[in-house]
Amino acid sequence: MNWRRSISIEVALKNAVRQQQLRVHYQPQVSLASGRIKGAEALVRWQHPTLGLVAPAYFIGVAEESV
Amino acid sequence: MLKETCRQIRRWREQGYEGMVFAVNVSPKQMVYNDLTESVRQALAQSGIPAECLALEITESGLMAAGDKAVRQFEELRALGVRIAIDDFGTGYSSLAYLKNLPLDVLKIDKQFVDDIPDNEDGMQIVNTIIAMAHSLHLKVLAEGGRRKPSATFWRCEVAILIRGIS
Repeated sequence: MNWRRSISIEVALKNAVRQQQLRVHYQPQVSLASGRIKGAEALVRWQHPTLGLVAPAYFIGVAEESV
Repeated sequence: MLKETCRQIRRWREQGYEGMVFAVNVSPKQMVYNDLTESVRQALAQSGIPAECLALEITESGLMAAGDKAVRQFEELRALGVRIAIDDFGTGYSSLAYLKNLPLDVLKIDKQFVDDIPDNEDGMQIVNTIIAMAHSLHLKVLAEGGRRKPSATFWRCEVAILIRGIS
């Protein structure tokens, strides 16, 4: 990823945190033995006001770099 | 992410959903540049949930990148009661040797293998082999994906199927 793109994602991401556009979605985990939900995996989702749902692959790397 | 998830776990537990395990993804950077154990301790203390409710997932390649720091911090975290899961198992450029050296609880079989069920015989044998190996190492197995399974269509999409219970 080039640095210019990376920086603009980082700026947008900081804005997203401030405006609470980052949401946690929970993906259920089901036991095959009982058919019951045993838990869930927390997954971050970015709901952008104009771009819609932004794929994690697009911003996770930048988010980790800017920690 | 960790704090928010722990807060949500507490809300669910208050509504009676106890005994479930919730997984959060961690990156090697969280272990190399930060103290993951301390972050987890704080999130557990602030939310008041038991450590046994929490699982941390790291990818195989993430694990390789974090190296010795991962081993030490996973040992500390497991001593607290937190479970450790390997994400995307079978897809990274990694050594199986880590399976005997690392404190682990769960292997997550990558979706690309799970999607081979029931049409690709070789892929299914890989899944069988991973399950057999995991169980003989006393690890639980989690299959990613599984949305094609008719009984799972109820969950609409992105359903992970637990082949053996993790609790």
